[in-house]
Formats: sequence, C-alpha cells, structure tokens
Amino acid sequence: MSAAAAAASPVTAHAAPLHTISILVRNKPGVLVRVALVFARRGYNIESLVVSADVTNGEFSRMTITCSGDPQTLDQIIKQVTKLIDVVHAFDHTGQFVYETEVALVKIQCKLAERTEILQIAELYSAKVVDYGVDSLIVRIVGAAEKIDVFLSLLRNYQIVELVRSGKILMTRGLATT
Amino acid sequence: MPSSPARRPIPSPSAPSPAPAKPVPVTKAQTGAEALIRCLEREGVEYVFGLSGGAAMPIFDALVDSKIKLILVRHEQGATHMADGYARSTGKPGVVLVTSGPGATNTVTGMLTALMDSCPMIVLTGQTISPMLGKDAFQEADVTGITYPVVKHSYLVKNPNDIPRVTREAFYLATSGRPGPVLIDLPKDVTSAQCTAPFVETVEMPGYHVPGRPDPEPLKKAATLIAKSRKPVLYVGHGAVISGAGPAIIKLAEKLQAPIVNTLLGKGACPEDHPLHQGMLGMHGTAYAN
Amino acid sequence: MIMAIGARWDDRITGKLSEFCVGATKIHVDIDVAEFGKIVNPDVSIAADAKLAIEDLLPLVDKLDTGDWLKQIADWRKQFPLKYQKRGGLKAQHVLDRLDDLGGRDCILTTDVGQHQMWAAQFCLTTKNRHWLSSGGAGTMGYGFPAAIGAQFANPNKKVWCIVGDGGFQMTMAELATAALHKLPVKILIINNSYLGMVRQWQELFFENRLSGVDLEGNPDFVKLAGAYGIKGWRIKRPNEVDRVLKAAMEWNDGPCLVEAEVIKEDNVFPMIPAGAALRDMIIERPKQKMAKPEGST
Repeated sequence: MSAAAAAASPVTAHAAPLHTISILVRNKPGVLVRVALVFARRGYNIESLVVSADVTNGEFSRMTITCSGDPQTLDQIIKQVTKLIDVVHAFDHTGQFVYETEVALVKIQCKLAERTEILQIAELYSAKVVDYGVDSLIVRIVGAAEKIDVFLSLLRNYQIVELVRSGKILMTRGLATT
Repeated sequence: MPSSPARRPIPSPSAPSPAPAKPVPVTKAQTGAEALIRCLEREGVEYVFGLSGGAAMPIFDALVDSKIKLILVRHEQGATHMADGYARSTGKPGVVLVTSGPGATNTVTGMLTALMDSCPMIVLTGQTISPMLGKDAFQEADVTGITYPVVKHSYLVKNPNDIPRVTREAFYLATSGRPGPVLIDLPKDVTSAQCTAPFVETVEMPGYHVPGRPDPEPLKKAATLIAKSRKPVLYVGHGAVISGAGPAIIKLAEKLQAPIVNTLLGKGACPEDHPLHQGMLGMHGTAYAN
Repeated sequence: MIMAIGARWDDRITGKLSEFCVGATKIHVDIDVAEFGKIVNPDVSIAADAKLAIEDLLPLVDKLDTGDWLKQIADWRKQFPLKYQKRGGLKAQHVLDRLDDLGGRDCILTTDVGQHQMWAAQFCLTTKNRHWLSSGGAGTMGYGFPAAIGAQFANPNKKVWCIVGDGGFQMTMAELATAALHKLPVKILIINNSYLGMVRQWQELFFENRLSGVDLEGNPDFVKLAGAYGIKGWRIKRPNEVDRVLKAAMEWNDGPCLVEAEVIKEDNVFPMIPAGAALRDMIIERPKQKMAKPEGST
C-alpha cells in the first residue's frame, strides 16, 4: 500500500498495517461464528470478511478476512484459528504473490447537470454506472482495495449517500493452493 | 512471516483418516436416543452423571434399558465436576447428561474447568424440538452459541442419522491430542425420531491433526542445546500426566542429572519424593523450585 | 536451559514475563502447536506426545556437568525450606503435612480452590500419576468435592480424600446426598478458617488489609450437616487431635466421612510471587512494609 495512497484516502486510515488471511473451513453452520470469536476474544477488529462455498468441493468454504494488527498477535490468531476443528488451514497472504480484488457500490446524490465530472472520474477508474436516476446514481468499481480508496477520496467533494464494500477476496497465482 | 504449516491440497471427501473399516449395521429399528445409548456403550462408557428434564427425556428413557449406570446429581455443575474427576483419574472421558435451558447453562463452569485443564469430557444436552429453535421455547437456550468459547468442539444434531457419526467424532476429539470437553446438543424430536444409520468405527476430520512421535530435526536441535547446558531444569506440566511421560522423564533427569519441577497440574507425573525433584514452581511454589 | 514438557508457561508460573529465565535456552514440548510462541518464544519447539518425545530424546543426550548446579539447589533447599509455625493454634499446613505422612501418598487427592489448595500442593507430595486432581487453569471453587465423587466411582479400590475450604465446599455440597446414597467412601477434609482465605491474603498484603467480601460468617456446623445426610463426621480443634482423627477417617469404610478442621482464621501462604512480579520478587514470609498492588493478571 503506497504511502501516498494511504495519506490521500480519508476513508481507510489505519494505524497498523492491514493483513489478509485466507481460511479454508468445513462448510457447516456455526463455523463463521467460531472463527469470528477467535478475533473478538483478543479485541481484534475484523475490517472485512467474505465467505463462500469452495467450488471444487461443496464440503468446504473459503473465508477471506482482512484485519489489522501486529505480526506477533496475528501469528497467534492464525494458530488459534487453525486449532478450530472445522478449520483446515489458515494463511496470512499479506505481501505474497496473490491476485486480490474487491467491489464497491457508491450512491451519489447529484442533479443531472453536475454529473459530468463524476462520470469522468468513473471512466478513469473503469468504474461503471449501474443505476442512473434523476437525483442520484450508483457507481460500481472493481479493483484493488487501494485503487478503491483513491477513487473514493476523489469523490469526497460530492454527496456520497451510501457506500457498501464487499471486502477483499484473493487467490494465489499459479497452482499453489490459497 | 508467521510460521504457517506446509500447504496441503484440498482434501477430497473420500480420503479417510485412520484405517477404514466396514460400518457396523444396525440390527433393529431404534430411536435417536437408543442409538445414542448404544454408541455410548460401544465407547466403553460406564457412568453418566446427570440430571433429567423435559428435553432430555427420550435419552433418560433409553438409559433405563442400558447397563450404563446413571448417577443422579443435585446440581448440573456437580455432574460436570464428577465427570471431570472421573476423567482426570483415569484418562477416560467423563460423560454428562443434562436437559435444555438452565440445565445446560449450569454446565458452563464445568466445561470451562475441563477446557482450561485439558480434561476429556462429553456433555450431552437435551434441546427443545428443532422447529422451536430460536423461538424462546420453554427451557430453550442457544447452548451451542453460549458454549463456543468453553468447548474443544460442539455439535447440534439436526438429523437422527447423524448420531453415530457425531458420537464417534465427539469421543475421538475429546480424548485425542490435547483433550477437552465436547458438547452434543440433542433436540427432543431428533432423539425421538428413528435412527437407521449404522455405527461407525472411523471418522474423517480434515483439518484436525494430532502430533504423535516428534520430528527428528527439532529433537536433534534440542539435544544439541541440552548438551551445552550447565543449569538444566525440567519443567513438567499436565501434558506429562496425560501422556504418562513420568517414567521417561525420570530416566531423562537421571541421565542428565537435571532437577525436575512441576506445575500445580503436573503433580504426580514424576514422584515428588524423587531425589532430583524440587517441588512445585510458580506463584506459591517452593522457594528453591523458583 | 529450561525444558517445558506438557506445560504452557502459565502466568502463575512465569510471573513477570520480561524477567522470566532471561538468557536461558527454552525448549517446549507440547501436543498443541498453538501453544508454541503464545507466551514464550522457545528456541526449539517439539510438536509431539510428551512420552514419545522424551523417549525419542533419551538416546540423543548424555550426562551433563551439573554438580555445581545441584549443589546450589541443595543449598537453597536448606536455606529456604517450606515452613510454618507449629505453635499458635491449629494450622492447615500441619493437618495436611500429617495427612501426607499418614498415607496420603497412596490416596487420590482432590482439592478445591484457595489457600488450602496451595498448602495441599506444597505439603501433600504426589508420587503416583493421576492421583492429584485440582482445578488449575480455571480455578473453579466447588470443584473438589464432586471431583472426588467422580474419582471414587472410577477407582473403587483406592482411597479418595477431598481437601476443601469452607467457601468452596458450600458451592457444591448438595452432592453430599449423592455420595451418601451410593455409600462412596470419599473422605472430606474441610479446612475451615471462616474466610475466603486466598482473597483475604491478597487484601491483607496489597490492599492495606481492607477486607471486602471475604468473611464467611454464618457457616454451618459442617459435622452436624454431614450428620443430616447420615454421614460420619469428626471435628479437629487442636493440633494434638489431628493424628487420631485423620487415622480414624483413613480407616473409615462405611460410606463417606467428613473431617472439619477448625484452623486459625488468618494465615498466609508463603512463598508467594505477587501477580505480575518477577520470580526473584518472591516473598518468603510476611513482609514488614506495605506492598504495592500487583500489576499482573488476576
């Protein structure tokens, strides 16, 4: 995460660096809660959490969790998460050779006349307008978290009414297992 | 970079853990409760410590025809500590049977005690019928939710045919690796319904690995470090009691001529009257041990 | 060098971490890999069953030159033995010391939580595996008596003593009915000082003796209570009664029995390392000046 991007985006200003942890779990009710409790117990805040069934094998699900914290405590969290019976493995992918992405939906309140600039910024960031109304529009942007952070900071002069971010998902490049 | 385990490929459902064996077929029709009791008998359970109630009635009924002895207690906390004492003095899991709601929540302290001291325990809790889960039924409590932090693992059984597999898994988890309490929440309609699934001998637990013999590399490294030591101390804890490591530790201490100290829970692994033993260490340990 | 075998560097053992075994090599043998690096970063961690690990380690090591070290420890033993004042009333340490001498080592002992637990750990030597049952990690009061019942069911041919305090016993004493009904020959030793002794000790040492929520007034007559369940009971009031009563209880085989030892109300467990303090800040005896409140976890 470049220092310039971090400084420019008021939306995500973190004291500690963000880590992304990928966890392979058995697809059963309650697994999500058990994993989340490991973080909560240590007073750790989960910035984002995405979970979905693994395609190759419906018996397993993949969770991607973004959180911030010092490496020592994160190492313990990963060990405690791995200790859970329903967890197969957990890895901290921060700084590794992975492809990561995220999607965000931004609802902006604006009159028809004020839209040109917003649409220009959207085009620059390959963001797409998915809802176009008289008083508002919704822009969808897909990309790295840092790219979304910068995009949002560029829109700060406009009236952002709602914002939803999906949370980061990632996959290791090549044939290595995530 | 944290030390992560080596990456493993996603396990396929057909990859078994221990040596596979043919599932034992069920000879006659039985309810979930009856199947549960048969499973307990197969696990070698002799005593169940418990207190009855509405939601657990099918299970208490099935116990009448079993040679397992039910020890009726006066408070569910007592049942958990009895099961704990049974387990710590033998290594076999203690079994608790209570009803839903307050009966189950009264076992939380006992499960915390067992978890913190790595004691094998199976806690069977009756539960309100499945359609009523989450609707504030009489004596209902979200037992699985309440107990997440005080168990090694837990199960909420929704299908009576899961009972043989769940019971085998629970006993395996409670007694292997670092032992701990495992909870099985059993809704009344599940224990009353028919169970036609066969008993199981082995279970698949991807993601649960129990270390056995040590890897040679760390052992060699340890041996090298030990060889350089002039002031060695063997600090013995409950793990040594659980694995029966006492005689081996005595041999090691005598070979090295190293003193032994133990924790509160390590007492008994090595005889405390051995000449190399220096007593308990820690907050109230002997001065010379510390 | 310190080698942890099936132990987890608990805060009650290490005291202030930054001053624990500074400079010493640390080896950690544990079956739970999540314990490695949780409290202490070991130089070598061995993920294995304790017994198997030590067995495999044995052929790889040889005798060490520890003559000086062992002599130093022997000197410390002479200089700082476990001790208590034998005069001045009935002492818990005396009762437990006698129990140890009168056959305690062949019995399974369970304890509750508090001062009596620590004294029992110090004075009742355990020489057999799985003969010491005590709530350590959770420190659950009320554990001792029902645990003894469970242990007796499991080991019908062994003598089981449960050593409890008056506070903890009252939390689960309803199970007297269970013990009586099944005629379990559990022997209950109540160390009765009418206080939640361990908390009182902390308040005396660290809170300027401002006692709050520790005085157990209104305790029942435990011997009478046992009688109400049809359980045989004895009371010990003076040091010269200890041996006679303990021997009688040891031989009693007609169901459970209860011994109430009325010990002096205020006594302290020493040595003590205040929570969060370093091991060398250990207090051997009652300090003369005021002590600062401990910083560590409970």
